[in-house]
Amino acid sequence: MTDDLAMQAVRDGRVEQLAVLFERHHIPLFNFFLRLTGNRAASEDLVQDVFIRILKYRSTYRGEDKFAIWMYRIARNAHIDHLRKKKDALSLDDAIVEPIHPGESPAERAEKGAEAALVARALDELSPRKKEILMLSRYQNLKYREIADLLDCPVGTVKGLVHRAVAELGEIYARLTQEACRHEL
Amino acid sequence: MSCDEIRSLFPDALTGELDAADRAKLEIHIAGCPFCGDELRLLSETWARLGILPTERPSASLSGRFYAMLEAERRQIEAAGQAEAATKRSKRRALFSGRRFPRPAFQFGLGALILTAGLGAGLLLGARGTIGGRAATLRGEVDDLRQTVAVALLDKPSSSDRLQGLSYTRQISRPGQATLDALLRTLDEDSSVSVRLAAADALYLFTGDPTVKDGILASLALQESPIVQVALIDLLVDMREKRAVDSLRTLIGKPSVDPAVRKQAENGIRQLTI
Repeated sequence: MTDDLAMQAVRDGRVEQLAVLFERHHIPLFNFFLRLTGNRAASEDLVQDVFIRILKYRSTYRGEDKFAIWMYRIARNAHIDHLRKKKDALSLDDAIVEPIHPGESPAERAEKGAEAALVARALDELSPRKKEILMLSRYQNLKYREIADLLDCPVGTVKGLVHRAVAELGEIYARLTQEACRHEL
Repeated sequence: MSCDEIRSLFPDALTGELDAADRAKLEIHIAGCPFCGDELRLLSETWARLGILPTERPSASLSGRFYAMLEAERRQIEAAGQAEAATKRSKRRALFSGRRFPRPAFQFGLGALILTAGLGAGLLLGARGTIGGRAATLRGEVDDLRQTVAVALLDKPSSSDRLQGLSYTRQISRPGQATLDALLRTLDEDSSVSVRLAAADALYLFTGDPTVKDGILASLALQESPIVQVALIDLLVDMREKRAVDSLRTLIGKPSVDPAVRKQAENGIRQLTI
């Protein structure tokens, strides 16, 4: 059963079909929120919030967009509301984002894989907007056209943002690698 | 094409979405332009490096909370359906009890009364059919929900989740093939003896299904744990599955078989061949 058919069934009253969508999407969604918030508990709450909202607004599902686009639209709204509640910011661009592994020491990070830790740190230094667009294109496998629909902007804007985000990420990663080498010496 | 035009193709090159014509233009350009070639190489390296981040898994409580929320929603829908049915019943009662026809109605004569009664009966039967259908639909939805939840839980890494999934299957009245397959797969392949035992118990309720009979019979040869072997022998004897006699003889013939299992198998053969 495709996502779209499962969601149509949920919309038409067969709410048990939401379990199918949960099993398919809760881990990618959790990782999406985890990269944005850096907080596991908050990310789990946000995933739960997304599925509550899907149930609440199920009658509005028209199936015009791919289900994932509709779901990530809900996910972004849930995240924005989360930021508002924290009073950290009113928009993603102004948001203060916690480090991805706030409680971990450098040694613990090294144990988990020095390169992965550096990539995570580099991502944390990107603006929330750039980080979000990389999450959607690189990890959630949405196409640029779909991201453009989701963010309600031209597809060229999305491509430009991805280009700049990847270039900036590469520069940050190179700097962090040099810093790490200096610490080792 | 200019460098700017070529660079606008980089995002599609990263995701592999370039069409053949644009890919050819890109390749021709970077072959002669080291600046663009270097930039694309750096972007590609960074893009690839993003792949090393591990996929994090949420705690088990997230699934628990989700399924609790879904169950609450389902109950709410069920309650709403029952309330709707109750309202229709009370409306019918109000229509046919304690209501007095106004006196002039009698003056319309017997023919009009019969016509009214006929229409009323028709409406009543129609309404009853709708409510009955709705109740049947709700029962089906509950069964579907239990099956979906059970099958999802049987795939979980935690054995307590899988045991919970098996407990859900006990409330299923009409299991679908996917549910039966998941139960049989759990019986054959689960790493936990407790879960395999619970799967055997759960399958007991569905032994009327031929695929379940075949599956249990085939599973006996796969099991290594004596306790599971004994449980399956009991199950096959309860089912009066005479085809099990050959499997039990094969089991008895194995030199490595546990003495308790051998004894149970011998008892089983006696009961099945009476």
